[in-house]
Amino acid sequence: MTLAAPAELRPPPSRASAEPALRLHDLTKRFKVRRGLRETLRHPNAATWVHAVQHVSCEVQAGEFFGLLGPNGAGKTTLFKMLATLTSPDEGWATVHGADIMKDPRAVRRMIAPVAADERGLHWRLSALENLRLFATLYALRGSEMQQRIDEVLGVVGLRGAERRTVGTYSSGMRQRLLIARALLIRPRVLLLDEPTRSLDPVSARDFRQFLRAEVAGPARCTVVLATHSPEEALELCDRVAVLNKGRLLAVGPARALERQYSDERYRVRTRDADHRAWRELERRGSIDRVLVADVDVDGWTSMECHVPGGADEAAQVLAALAAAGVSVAGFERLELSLADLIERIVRERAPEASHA
Amino acid sequence: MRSALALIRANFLTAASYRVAWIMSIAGLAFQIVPTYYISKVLDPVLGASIKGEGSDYFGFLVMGTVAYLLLSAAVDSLPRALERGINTGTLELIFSTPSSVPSLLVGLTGYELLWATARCFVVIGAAAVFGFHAHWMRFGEAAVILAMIVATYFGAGMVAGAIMIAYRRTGQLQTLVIVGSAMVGGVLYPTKLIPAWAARFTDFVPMTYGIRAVRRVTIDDWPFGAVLADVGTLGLFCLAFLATGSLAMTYALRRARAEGTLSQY
Repeated sequence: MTLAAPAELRPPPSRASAEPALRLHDLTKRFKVRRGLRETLRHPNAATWVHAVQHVSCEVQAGEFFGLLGPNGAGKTTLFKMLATLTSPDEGWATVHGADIMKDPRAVRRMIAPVAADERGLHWRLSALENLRLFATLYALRGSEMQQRIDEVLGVVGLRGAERRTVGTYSSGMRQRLLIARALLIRPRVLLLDEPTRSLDPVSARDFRQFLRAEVAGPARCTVVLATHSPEEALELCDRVAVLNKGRLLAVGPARALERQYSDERYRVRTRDADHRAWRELERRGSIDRVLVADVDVDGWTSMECHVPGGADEAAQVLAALAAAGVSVAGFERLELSLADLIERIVRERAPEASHA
Repeated sequence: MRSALALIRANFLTAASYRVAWIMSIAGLAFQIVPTYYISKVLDPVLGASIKGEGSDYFGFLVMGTVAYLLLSAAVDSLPRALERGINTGTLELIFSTPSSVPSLLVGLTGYELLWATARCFVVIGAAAVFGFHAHWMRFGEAAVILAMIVATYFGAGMVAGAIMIAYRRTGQLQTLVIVGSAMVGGVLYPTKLIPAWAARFTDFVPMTYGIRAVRRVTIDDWPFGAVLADVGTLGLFCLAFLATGSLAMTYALRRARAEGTLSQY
C-alpha cells in the first residue's frame, strides 16, 4: 500500500478555543427488546429494555486520538451513531466542538465524519471518483474546490490512478481506504472510525494504522475516535482509551497507564528444571504463586509462568534464589498484559461498582 | 437542489451500468404498443360509446392511460424502493449523516426513477404515434402540468409507503394496493362507466379519476383548460392532502428511526 504524505490535508485555520472536540454528559440510550408474538399478546403493554449506553460522560480534546474498547455489545457503535446524529440519545447531551448533537445536528454533520465498520455504504456499481463526487456534493463542496479536494484525498489514501475503476472491483483494503477518503472530503474536525481494520489482512491493517497516524491524526490534526478490538491499534495509535462494557464507561486513560494499573506482575521463566524443589520453596515463602507450565520445548526446556506479588524487586530476588539453588534459567521476563486481559480485568473489577452506581 | 441532482446522477450511472436491462426496458415498452394497438382495435366497437368525453377511440384512451400508469407506478413505488435499497446497501444512513436537507435527499433518491418513467412515457407516445395515435400535440404542455400534479399527489402516497419502510422495514403490499386500486377504479385502462356500481362508489375518492380524465379531455378531445378546471382543482386538493400526509409520516418515521437506532437496520 503506497500512502502519500501530502501537506494539503491541513485544516483551515481553526478558531482558538478551549472547547473540547467532544463533550459527553450523562449520555444514555436504551432500546426496546423485540418480543415474540405470544409474549406480545400475553403482555401487550409490557416492554423490556436493553441499555446500550448508560450515563456516559467524558471529554475528548481536539487533535486527540481516542480509543473505544470493549467487548461486542459494549455500546461503542451506538455511541458513534449518537455522535453522528443518526441515533438520538434518551438522556444526557453531547457536543461536537460546542455544537449540540440534538439542537444543532446539521452543524454537527459538517464537522463529524463517521466511517462504518463494513464496506456497505459505497455505491459498488460506481467508480471511486463518482462515489467521492456524490458525497462531496452532499457535503456542499462545489466546482474546482470539490475537484481539488477529491484529488487530494485520493492521493492521501493512495487510490490515485485507480479512481476510475468501479468500487466492485476493489479489494477490501481499497474499499476501506475509499471510505476514509470519503470521510476526509469535508476536512472533518472529528473522525469516527468503527473497527476500520476489521476486514483487512495483518499487513494491510498495519499499513492502515501507520497511515492513520501519519496522515489523518498528524497533518490534519483531526480528532479521531477509534472503536476497536485490536490491541495493536489501541496501543499504537491512541493517546487515551476508554473501556466500555454493557454501555457503561468503566475506565478512561492512556492505554499504557491502564495496562500498568491493571497488570498483575506475571513473569515467564524458561528453565530445564521445572520440577526443582526451589519452586515449591519460593511458593511456600509467598514469593511466587499461581505457577503453571506454559510450554515444553523439544530440547527439554520448559516455559513456566508465575505471579510475583512483590513486583519487580521481588522478581529480582526470585531470579537470584533460583540461580543460587542451581536452577537452569535461560529466560526471565515480565509478561505484557494483553488488551483482552486488560479489558477483562477492568470489566471484572469495575462492573460491580458500575452496576451499583 | 445540487444534492438532489447529485443523487439523481448517481442513480442514473448505477442504472446505466446494467446496460442490457436498461435497453430491454425501453425496447420492451416500445414493442408493448403492438399488442396494445391490436387489442384496442378489437375492443373499440364495444367500448367506443362508453369512452365518449375522454377520447374518440379506445387506442388513444389506452395510450394516455398507459402514460398515467407509468407515472403513477413510479410516483408511488420509487421512494420506498430507493429507501429499501439504501437500507440494504448501507448508503441511506450515510446519506442522512450529511448536512443535506431531508427533502432534497428524498427528491434525489427518487428523481431518476421519475425521469426514467417520463422518458418511457415519451417512448410509449412515440411508438403509439407510429401506430396512428392522434392527439392535440400543442396541448401537451397543459397535460404535462396535470400529469405532474398526478405524480406529486401519488408521491405523497409514496412518502407514506417510504415512512412505513423506514419504520418497519417492509411495506407489505401497500404500493401495489395504491397502484392497482387507482388503476382499477380511476379509469386508467377502461372507462369508469364500466366499473360495477359497488366499485364505482370509490372512483370519486381516487385522485387518478380526476387527473386522467382531465389529461384525456385536454390532449385527445381538445377541451379548453377552463373546462377541466374542476377536475384539476380537485386533483390539486388531493395533491395538498397527500403531500401533507406524506411529509408528516416521513417526519415521524425518521424521528422514530433515530430514536430507535434503526435507520440502517434491515
